[in-house]
Amino acid sequence: MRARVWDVVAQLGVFAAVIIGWQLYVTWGQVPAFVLPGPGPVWQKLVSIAKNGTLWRHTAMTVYEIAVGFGLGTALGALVGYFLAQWRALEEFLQPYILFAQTAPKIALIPLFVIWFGLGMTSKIVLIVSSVFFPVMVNTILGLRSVPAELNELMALLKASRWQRLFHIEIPSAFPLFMAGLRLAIIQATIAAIVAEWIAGDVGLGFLLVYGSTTYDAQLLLAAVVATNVVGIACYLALLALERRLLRWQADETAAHLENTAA
Amino acid sequence: MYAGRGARVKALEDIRLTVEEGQFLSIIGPSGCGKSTLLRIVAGLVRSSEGEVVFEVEGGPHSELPGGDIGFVFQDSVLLPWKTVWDNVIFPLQVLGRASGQAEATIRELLELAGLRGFERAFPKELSGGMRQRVSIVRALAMDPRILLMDEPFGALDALTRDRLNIELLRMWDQRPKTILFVTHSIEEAVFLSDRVVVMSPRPGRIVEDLTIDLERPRAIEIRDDPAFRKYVAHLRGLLG
Repeated sequence: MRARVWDVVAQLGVFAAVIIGWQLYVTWGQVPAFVLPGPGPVWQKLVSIAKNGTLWRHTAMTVYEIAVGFGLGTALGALVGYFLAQWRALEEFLQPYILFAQTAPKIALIPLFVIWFGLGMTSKIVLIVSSVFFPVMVNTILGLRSVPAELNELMALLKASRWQRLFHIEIPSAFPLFMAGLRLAIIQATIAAIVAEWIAGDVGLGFLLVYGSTTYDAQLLLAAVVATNVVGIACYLALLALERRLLRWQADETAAHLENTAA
Repeated sequence: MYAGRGARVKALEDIRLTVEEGQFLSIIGPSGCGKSTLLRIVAGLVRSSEGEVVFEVEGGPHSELPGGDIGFVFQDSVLLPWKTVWDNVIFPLQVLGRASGQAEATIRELLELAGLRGFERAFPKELSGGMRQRVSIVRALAMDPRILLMDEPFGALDALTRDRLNIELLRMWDQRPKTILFVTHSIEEAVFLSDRVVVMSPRPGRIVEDLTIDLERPRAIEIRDDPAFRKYVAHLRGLLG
């Protein structure tokens, strides 16, 4: 417990050092405010856009996009993953294409999505879904394949039905790897949402970033960066908390992971 | 409860084996002699290319038994890590649609017999290897199978735990007699537990000895110092040399 307290103190110390270093650099280096404002003005800007509602309007949009895109992408990825896991021959046949689609930077496709789906919501959601889909699908397949052979034998001896296998054995066995896939996916979803907003749309934290940049409002830009980070971290931690609740039976590993993540 | 006239088993090539109902039969032999394969063929998990398995139950011979009639205990306990001890034990009955108040009473009794009382809510992770294997045996017995197949169930345990589980297994078997086919590497374990020990040769696995163990039951661990016991062990060791 004592060690834990010192960890937190040390972590806060690093944060304070970064802020102080930033302030000192700005002061001593006589950096113009339009290039890099100090932490004080950025904080003030953040407070002011929070007060006038701008921050919330943009944040709500980004969170909404992440939620819809992540939800759809996860559902699709899990479904396709499930069918490919059953149908091994098809999965092996599709393997090179899956690898290609998985590693191709989906962000490069936004201009195409804009041509196909316009500058509205659809393009953004399509990008997020395509970023979420592959890590979820691949980990669903891996998870479903991780069922120990003996468990399948046990179910065979019980003459269990397809659905009994699915609910008693396959879903719980696949769950840890599935959740690991979601963790990768939520990070991808956040990045995709921000980048999509750079290009398509007139609301959202990504839009706010670009707006700050084009108007040379470095305070707004940095305030938006802070908000973006907070959204990304919040989504990730919410997922970890969910995982920890659902995977209590392997609580040790998840707790260790949480600590590693926090550290 | 079972009016069966004995489960008759005949498997693969030169292997011809008839097991009486309620008999405790051990199969020993060197690694790779096909002991585990033989068990899996009996269980219907592996199809044999030749030969057949016949179960003589009420209503005549069958090549297959209904779900839950064959219990299997693996070398690893193969528990579901996301379920508690209780849920692990009752889950086969849920799959079979046979979970009832009476089944729960049976499970409580079996857990008591296996020395697992008070651990119902524990997760497998929190148990020792020996305790996990006990849970796995209780899980197999809870569905009241006609035949219990055990594939080196104590092979991964230390000698002391193994002795204790041997005694507990005999106690549970005494209370609920089953036909048991028990695969092991250990000659002493085989002699201690069984009514009959079958010795298999290295690949291709053939039966080289079929020995009836005529020691009185119930057996205590001291029986291993009995001259008759030592004689059986020496004879089998000579065969496996």
